[in-house]
Amino acid sequence: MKAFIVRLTATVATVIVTACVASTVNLYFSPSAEQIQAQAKKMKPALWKIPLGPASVQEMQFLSPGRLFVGLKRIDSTMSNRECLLVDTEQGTVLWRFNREEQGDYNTVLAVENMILLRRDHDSRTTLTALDSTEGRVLWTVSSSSPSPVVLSFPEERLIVVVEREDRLVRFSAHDLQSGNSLWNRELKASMPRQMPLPPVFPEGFVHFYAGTEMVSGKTGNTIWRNTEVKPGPQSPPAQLSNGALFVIDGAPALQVLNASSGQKLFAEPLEQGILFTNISPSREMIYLRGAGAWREANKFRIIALRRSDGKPVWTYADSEPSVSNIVEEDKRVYFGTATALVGLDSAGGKQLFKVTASTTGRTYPVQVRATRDKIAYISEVIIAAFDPLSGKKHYSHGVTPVQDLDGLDIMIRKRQEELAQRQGQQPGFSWSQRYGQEAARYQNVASSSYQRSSLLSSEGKYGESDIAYARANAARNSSKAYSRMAFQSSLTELGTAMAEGLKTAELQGTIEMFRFLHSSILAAYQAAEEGDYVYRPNAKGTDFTGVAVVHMPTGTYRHFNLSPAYADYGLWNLVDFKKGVIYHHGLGMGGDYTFAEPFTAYTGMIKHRKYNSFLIAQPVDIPKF
Amino acid sequence: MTNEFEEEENIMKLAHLQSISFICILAALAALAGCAGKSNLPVYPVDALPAESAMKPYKVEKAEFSLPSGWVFKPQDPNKPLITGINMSGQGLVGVLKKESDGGGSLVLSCWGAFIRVDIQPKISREMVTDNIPDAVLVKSFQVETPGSYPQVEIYSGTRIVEGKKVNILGYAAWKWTYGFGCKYGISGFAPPAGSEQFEKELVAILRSLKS
Repeated sequence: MKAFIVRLTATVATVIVTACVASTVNLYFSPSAEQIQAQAKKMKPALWKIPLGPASVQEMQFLSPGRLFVGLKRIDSTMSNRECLLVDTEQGTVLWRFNREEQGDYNTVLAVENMILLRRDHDSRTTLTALDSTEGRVLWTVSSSSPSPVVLSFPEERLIVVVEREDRLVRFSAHDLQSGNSLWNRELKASMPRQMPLPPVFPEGFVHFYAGTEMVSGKTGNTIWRNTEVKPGPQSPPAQLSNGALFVIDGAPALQVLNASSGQKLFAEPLEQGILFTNISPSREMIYLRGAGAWREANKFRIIALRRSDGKPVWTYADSEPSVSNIVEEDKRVYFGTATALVGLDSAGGKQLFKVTASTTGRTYPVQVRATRDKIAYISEVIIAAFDPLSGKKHYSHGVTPVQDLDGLDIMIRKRQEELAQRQGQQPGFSWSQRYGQEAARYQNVASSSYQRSSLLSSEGKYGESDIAYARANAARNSSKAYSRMAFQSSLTELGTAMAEGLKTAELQGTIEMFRFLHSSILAAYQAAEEGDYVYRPNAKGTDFTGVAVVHMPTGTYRHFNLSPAYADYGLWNLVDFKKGVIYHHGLGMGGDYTFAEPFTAYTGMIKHRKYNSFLIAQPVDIPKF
Repeated sequence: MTNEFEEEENIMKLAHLQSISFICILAALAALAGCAGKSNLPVYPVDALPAESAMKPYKVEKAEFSLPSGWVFKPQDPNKPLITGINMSGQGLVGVLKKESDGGGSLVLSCWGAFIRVDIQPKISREMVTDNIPDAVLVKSFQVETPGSYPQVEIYSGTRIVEGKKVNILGYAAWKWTYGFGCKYGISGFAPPAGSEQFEKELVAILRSLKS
């Protein structure tokens, strides 16, 4: 009898649960089958198509010509990891797949022709795994028990340095890139090491700020120079290296400029109190410092120009909205972007020459500003525009419809967190204006590092002649990616411990995790979407199809290529080979052979989603050549 | 450590507890079903709505509804893509109700099973809207008095980015609990602000026409 009761109860309970979850949720894409067929007829046949299943792309980058590295995420409530793979783009074949099923957050630290270094962070533990990129074989694995270590790459020296930051201690350990063997170790006492700026990397070593300022040889771990007087504070912006000089803002605050080879102080300049400095951008003639004054000030966002030769203040520019771009200095003028405008100043006196509207969306994004022949280009998440460098007159403006928009995701994350806070009877723990300013600060650094990367790529070519040359370019790209990741990590961190605890609420965890993934994916995908004079964006034009909008910045020539029916976040990742005229695209494609993947339980715990399988597609397109 | 006898006794206790839990769940469901829908929201005036007799009736499996003139129904077929104009999700999706005149607009109609939770029913409809319009703000909510049920409507206002420009959009979330084992309906959709007053009336007329 008792067994019968147990079975009956279990059966009835199962029936109820099944009835609740049996129906599935389908995310539909827009166009009809006839529309897809008509679109497919207009296109050249795909060169190849590799099925990826129901997956989001986490990263996509060329290791070398013809070798495309792709990292995947499973689309489910946990956004768990899927494999990474290497594709031969000539043949359209998968050369190898590496299983990344373990829990945690995977990131690529270094990707060169013959090696890929993956980092996995999970539960305060970080594991580095080096893969032989020709076969996908594991070369070595190293673990760190300290949470969020910093990994510095020295591909020329064939080594990495892992920096582990405890409460009052910092450990450096160098590992051989080929074998993973330990090369040297060092420890030093430090105060609040996690709050110090990250170490900038030179070809010969790195500079840390954990006990004064010290340059350490990457090869030996020995001190190259030490300057105990220069001590950045916990709120100091990232230090910058430029033309043999190291620029640091210390806790006073004062700008300290050191000779990067000797550590000798070149000059120091006391800075205005009450300003939170967020970015240092050295140029040929000036050093531009960006920061924010007191929150009640009307024009609280400042750019302070100091003379490059001696650091003496020349002018200060104040605005009600922060700059969110890199700074470009060209022909005695200085240009930068806000979320809405391109601003041109006279670099000698700081006089505003123009402030022209570039975007009406007001959505914050790390804007890129480029000097391109006779124009100044403004590249944001959804607008690519160009202006006359003298008058600010608009030459052209092209808008895209984002597959997923960054600011929208920011809003969604905040909404969910507010929802959580309300449920738990707490205040959200942040103000909108504070967040706006903090986001702007992070985007300044993302944009600046991306600008450096862009300059490096254009000077060395998209692919290096050797793996080392390419590694140099890629190191910059990874540093840029690291900034974007840090930006997001800090945006989560600042929400406070209560929020972090709140994220454990199962119902919302999946959703927030998905938004978080898409957020960092957009930053990474868009940063990769620039080459030479071209910039491109995913574009869900007309909402039926998703594709790629390509803009030739000097001429403003715009082309849009439909690539797949618009569907969920598919279509976010694209890489364009301008020489061959091929777009490597993640999406459904126009083949019409869409099949649903197996359903899975979604974040509500009640509903099941089904998603279409996706493909990596090599689509030939006619890109105008100039 | 427990011996075999204690273990058997524990199983019996567990079975007893489970059967009590099951009865409690049924009782809770019945209670929730009984009080579903009734709220303190304003009641939408139904005098100016399109007459149901002038609307075109549809029956799609369990779902029964009528559409005013200018509307078309696009049934759901999992193997064929549908025109929704925006990414949507819907449990038990019946199809898309598309208004082709006066600025247009699309609604997704869902029919959920008998055991859909009362609190989940509005949540799904609402989240289909808010997940697609990040800055959605609730601008209006009301209930519609129909015999035996109290369907509710929420209207959201927000923006989308289309070709680099911010475009205003209204989002509609509605749900209707019906007794018995028939459909528990959910409606979610989007329409431009132009012609929103008429769109709202027609949505309410469709909602009233939904039958269990």
